[in-house]
Amino acid sequence: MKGLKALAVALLLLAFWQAGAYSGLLDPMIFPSPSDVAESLAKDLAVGDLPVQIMFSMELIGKGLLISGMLAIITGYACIKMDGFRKIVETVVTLIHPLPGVALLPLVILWVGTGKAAIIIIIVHGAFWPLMQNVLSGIGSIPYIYFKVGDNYGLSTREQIFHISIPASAPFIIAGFKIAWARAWRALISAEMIFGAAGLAGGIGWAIYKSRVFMDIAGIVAGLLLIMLIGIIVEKFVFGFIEKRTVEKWGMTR
Amino acid sequence: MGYDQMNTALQAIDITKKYYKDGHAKFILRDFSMGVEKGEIISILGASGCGKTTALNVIGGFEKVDSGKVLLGGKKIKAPSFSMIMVFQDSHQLFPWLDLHNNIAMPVKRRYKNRPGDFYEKKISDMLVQVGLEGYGNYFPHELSGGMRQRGAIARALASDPELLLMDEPFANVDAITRDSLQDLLLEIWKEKGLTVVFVTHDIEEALYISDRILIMGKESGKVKRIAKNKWKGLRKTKENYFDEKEGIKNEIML
Repeated sequence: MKGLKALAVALLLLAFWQAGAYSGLLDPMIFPSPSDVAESLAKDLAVGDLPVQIMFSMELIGKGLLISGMLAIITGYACIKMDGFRKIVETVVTLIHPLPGVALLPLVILWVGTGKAAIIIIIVHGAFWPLMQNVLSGIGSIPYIYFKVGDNYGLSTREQIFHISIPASAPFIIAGFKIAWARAWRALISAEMIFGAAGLAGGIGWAIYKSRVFMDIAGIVAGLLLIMLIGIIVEKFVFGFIEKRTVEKWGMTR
Repeated sequence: MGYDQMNTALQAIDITKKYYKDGHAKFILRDFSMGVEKGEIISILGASGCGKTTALNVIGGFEKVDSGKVLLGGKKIKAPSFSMIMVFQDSHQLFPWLDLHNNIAMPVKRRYKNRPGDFYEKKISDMLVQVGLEGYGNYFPHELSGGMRQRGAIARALASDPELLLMDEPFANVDAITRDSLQDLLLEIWKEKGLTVVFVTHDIEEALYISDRILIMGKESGKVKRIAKNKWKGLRKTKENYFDEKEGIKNEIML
């Protein structure tokens, strides 16, 4: 029902947009019509290099989130084991979390140059801190009784982590990944625009930036739409699917 | 009645546990001793704050002591194990991310390794039948009522065949009608399987209904007042002197 309403609103906006273009209120050199954008998007997807760029972006963000996730699990594990370490991590998260990834660019470029590694570092910076913050809240929220039951059944430390800590803090971990994804997605597009392509592929951000050079304004807007669409698809469908299969099924939604 | 080794399941000997507040030692448990005979249900009865839950935690190996020891079959208890499984008061003790079947499977598969699949399936379904939850194996805990979750917790605890069942006010959080039926369930399983149970409660009627013996704790001393044989097991408020007994115990645990 909610999805249908959102779809109706989106279609209505699209209709206004198209009507504005038809009536001549929107100059196609300033803002293209939806049909031009759709045409450009279809063409870039079918015969252009957009699929390559999408894959490039998704690969980087996938790797970045994977690294962030693993780092968060290892750090979270150390935090459970050592309370002193946890306090340090909490402070570091608070300090570094607000720092925009783009501000780190000069430093990152000096460290590793402008390749994929630099973009991944920016992504990990965007994703890791909010994820870590949620993992810490998640650890704090686990009812002590679960560990007691685990002790009673002789669970090893590794089993306590994978069979108790992670599922018990799943609502926090998933919420953390959602924020991490959104931050990483923004960081990725910015970094791609700044770094440009190494060879053929430079990601969706680079594709948009390149369109500017060719005055391909429909291509630019098409790229923006694509960024929105992928963002929505991942948030609603990927995370929606994960939530339905886990925390919603377990009655753990907060 | 003395305890011969053959019949004694567990012994707690001179347990002392204290903490310091403003430079003064406060005793949670002081010279706490008790024996548990095989096949009996013994209640630890006391007011809240008397140390009864701590006593149970010590027996189960969950908490350390300042002095004294707990012997299970003559062996000193140092950590929790499958020998003694605890059922808690909290009706959220089942893991919410596992359905009832898998909640029960977890300890069973850990205690009995490398058995054929039928072995586990039979054990789990037998337990579900025993606690009256047949057909609820694929339900997640949040889909069950509080009383059903406690039945599930009992099933999970018994499925790995502990020598002792430790119960920490397991029926305190359910309504009176459900509580009665859970007490009946416990007695039923006890009769059928010959369980040995240490049962912590603050509810005198509950202690009188389920126990073979009742250990009465004082309110603040951390000491055992007395351990008494109970003649009211399985009976509910039937005769007049039941109330005298209840009032008498009430006075004792409030001192």
